[in-house]
Amino acid sequence: MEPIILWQHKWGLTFHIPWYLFLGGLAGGTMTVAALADLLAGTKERLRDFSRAAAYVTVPAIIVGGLSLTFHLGKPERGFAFPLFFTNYQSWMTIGGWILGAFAPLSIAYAAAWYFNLNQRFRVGMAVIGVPLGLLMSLYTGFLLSAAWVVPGNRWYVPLWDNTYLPVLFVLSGISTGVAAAGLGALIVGRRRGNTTGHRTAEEAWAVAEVASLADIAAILAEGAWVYLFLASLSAGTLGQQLASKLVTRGDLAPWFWWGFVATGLAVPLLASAMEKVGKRLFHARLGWLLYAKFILVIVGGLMLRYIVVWGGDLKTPLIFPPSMWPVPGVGGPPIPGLGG
Amino acid sequence: MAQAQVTIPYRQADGPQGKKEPARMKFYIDVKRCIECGGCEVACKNENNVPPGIARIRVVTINEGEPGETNVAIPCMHCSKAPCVAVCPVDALYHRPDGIVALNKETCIGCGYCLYACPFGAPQFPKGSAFGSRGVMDKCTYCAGGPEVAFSDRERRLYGSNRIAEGKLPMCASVCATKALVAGDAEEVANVVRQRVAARGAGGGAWGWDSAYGKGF
Repeated sequence: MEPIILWQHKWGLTFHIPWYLFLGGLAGGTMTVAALADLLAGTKERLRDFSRAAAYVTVPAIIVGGLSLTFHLGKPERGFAFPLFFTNYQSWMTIGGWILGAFAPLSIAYAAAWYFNLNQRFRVGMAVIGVPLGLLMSLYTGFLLSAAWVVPGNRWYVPLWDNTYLPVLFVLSGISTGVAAAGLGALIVGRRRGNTTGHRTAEEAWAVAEVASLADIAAILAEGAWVYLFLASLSAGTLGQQLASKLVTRGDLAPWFWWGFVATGLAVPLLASAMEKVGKRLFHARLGWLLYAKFILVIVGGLMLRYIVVWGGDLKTPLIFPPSMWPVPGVGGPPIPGLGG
Repeated sequence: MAQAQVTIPYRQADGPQGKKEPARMKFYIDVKRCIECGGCEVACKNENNVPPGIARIRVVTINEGEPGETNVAIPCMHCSKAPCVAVCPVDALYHRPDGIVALNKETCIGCGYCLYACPFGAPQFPKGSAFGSRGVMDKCTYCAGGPEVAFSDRERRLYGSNRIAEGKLPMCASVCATKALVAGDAEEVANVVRQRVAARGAGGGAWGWDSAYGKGF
């Protein structure tokens, strides 16, 4: 049975959409981390500093991401004025517009609250909203992609954008890249402040970054497990889903997936963490650069994942022509694997 | 959605309440007759001045050169529950009373969501950057023009010809050499299909109708 596979390219043609998915998820992650650290800080100064650094990281991420998304449109001005133009409230793109439209000002205001030392209650109030909103930033993009129609009979027109697995995958990736970016931000800010206020600030930033690194390990393991489940489920699914799974693991996207995502984003960071622990326990050496490298690798891996998902979205569910439709009566055609001929 | 007055075809027989019923326009592609001549593609591009790189109707072939070679021309199927209409954030795509899924290029922001939602690959975007060309989508209009004054220069420029308002059928179906591409009101199309199946035996099945129209019309 020969399937017709439509390849259609739009979002994968330019950098805009993959970078928005990546930066949006990262910003959502850093905001969630910043808000959680703020709410749980209590008297711990280091958690407060961590929250501050993470809040600062969120701002350039969401600004660049948001601009990238808006200027992908053919009419960017209508993207900026989305409350006027996005009238279909059943479309995930409209819902997402409101989520982004709420998140971007909130994250800027939150960072401003830290920078200008505004009223603490006001800032904590924003943190309370920031936790779910940050998670929503990653979640909604997963729903948006997987809402590319569901056909009765549980077939998706874009087989890779599976609505069971993609939203959670994006959330996990958003958290892991967010924690990594927050950790990186904390290290950099701590180092700069340490230069002026003394060694202790840098030490404390280091301690928090180590905790972030641990959290990252948990996120990476969860992400790896989820990706495995995702691809396993696809490879046991419909023809389109199998093709999508093959495309990612064995086809044109395989180098990007195995080297760009699994190695760079999952395996090597885990290895780096292990090396760092070993270095500390066995050799009492602090391999500081490993922590930096690990965070950067996780972030790059997150970007690679978004590219793979968007490029993989070019594969549409095959249009099946069952042999009963083939015009030659009695002769049929070539034998069909699994169906005889 | 405020549009210019739309001329739609009506069924010949009155509806259940004795009122005039709008026709339900649809395509039927008889895969047992399509010979991949490509006449539909050419006629459409010529009639509608389709932007380069876009094929509002495309012929797809499987088992090329082998027994069981099958060709099908795929236009926009003007689905009853069109996924493109469902996902468009700015409501640029809408259903006409006669079932045609129409596009408003003034409203379209070129986001591309419809391209990923459509199972038939109908929405397409002109080459070149979305930003440069104001990136609006183009697709088969069933030769019904668009939400502009019928036969105006603007309508012709943006959407192509408006044959429906003239009482004609789409260009592709009109020029189909083997009458593989049948267009018209659902009742008439179903009659044609019924006659063909009766004449040559069952084993066809209207390809694409499950996705496009669900069960029935």
